[in-house]
Amino acid sequence: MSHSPAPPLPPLWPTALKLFSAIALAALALLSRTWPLLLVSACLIAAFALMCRTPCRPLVRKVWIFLPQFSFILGLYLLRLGPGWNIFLEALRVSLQIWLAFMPGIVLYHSLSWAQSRRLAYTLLPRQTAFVLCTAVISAPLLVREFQDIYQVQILRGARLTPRDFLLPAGWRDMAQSLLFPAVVQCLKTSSEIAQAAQLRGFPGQTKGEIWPYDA
Amino acid sequence: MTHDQTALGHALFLGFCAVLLVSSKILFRWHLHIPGHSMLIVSFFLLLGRAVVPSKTAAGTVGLWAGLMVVVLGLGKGGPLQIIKYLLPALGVDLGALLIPGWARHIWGCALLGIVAGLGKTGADIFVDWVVGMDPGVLFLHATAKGVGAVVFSLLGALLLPPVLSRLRAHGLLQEERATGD
Repeated sequence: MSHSPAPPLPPLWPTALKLFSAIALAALALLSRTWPLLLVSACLIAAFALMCRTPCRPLVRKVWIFLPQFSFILGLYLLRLGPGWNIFLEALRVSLQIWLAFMPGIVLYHSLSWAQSRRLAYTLLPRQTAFVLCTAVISAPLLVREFQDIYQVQILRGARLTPRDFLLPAGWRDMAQSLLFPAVVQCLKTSSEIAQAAQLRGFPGQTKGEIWPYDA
Repeated sequence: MTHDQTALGHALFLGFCAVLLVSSKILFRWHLHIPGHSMLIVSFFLLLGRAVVPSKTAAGTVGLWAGLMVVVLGLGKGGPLQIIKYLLPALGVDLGALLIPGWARHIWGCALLGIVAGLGKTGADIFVDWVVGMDPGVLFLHATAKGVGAVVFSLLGALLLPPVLSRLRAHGLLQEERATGD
């Protein structure tokens, strides 16, 4: 039986370009203190979203983050400097800057594939850091599920862990004793097991640039 | 389970602290509309990392990794400056832990480090507001409103730690204290 060679991996530079563009655009939005610059920054972010082919829905949903923040900042401006059209515009500009700085991250999140992010991490970061970060992200759903299991079991055992219990000191005590302590022990156990398993399989390995354990 | 974690095991634990910090922020996003309430989770995980892992930069590592994840995942407000919002409290915790040896054994030590983490977050908020060019008077009001919330919630998060640490200590799971004889 003949094996066909594995298809070549797609180039990594578009992903790296996306990452650095998102960081640069967010920095530009934060530093755009005048309306023309802010407009340029908004146009560039919109172009970035179009180029990354980000779906519209998650972006539109984030519009609602802008409103509470704008009202809070506007309230502070009115309190400090009194009412006025200029004050309104100033508060709008500051809120828009903070909101626009947040958008490239959303675009990036919806356009990066996990496989490419992992390859990028192994290219940019030291080997152990890349392995730890990728393993931690992969293990996050497992850890959260274990955390939820511990929560359910402790509720069945009669621990005071419902949201209403946190109004009383007993709820906080139960959270530390019966929820956080087992969760921390579980994390220690999982990290110890993964470290042992990786080292038994030859981590950190020899070849520079390989994505461990996928390419090992 | 071995009680003596290897360096890789410790690094993985710090990675878990960072990823749990970020995922708790996503999962338990309370619509409290109180500024700084997320510091409850942040200060707990920063102090936990520093208490469990015997390294002088443990909290800084958790802060840096959590900041990197938040920037790549596009969470929170502030773009790349989000890293500072995690890194400054974390460096505050590391510095405080250096200045107060044996902080993990006392409630007041944890509380003090929690307050330092809250102040670090306030410093990061002031920096972001300054970068966007906010009026200094409004910046002061904004920083006060957010800073009070951040310090209070950070203190609450830090106070969750002593019961957890005392049970870990009772089970011989705190390597730092055995190593340093602290």
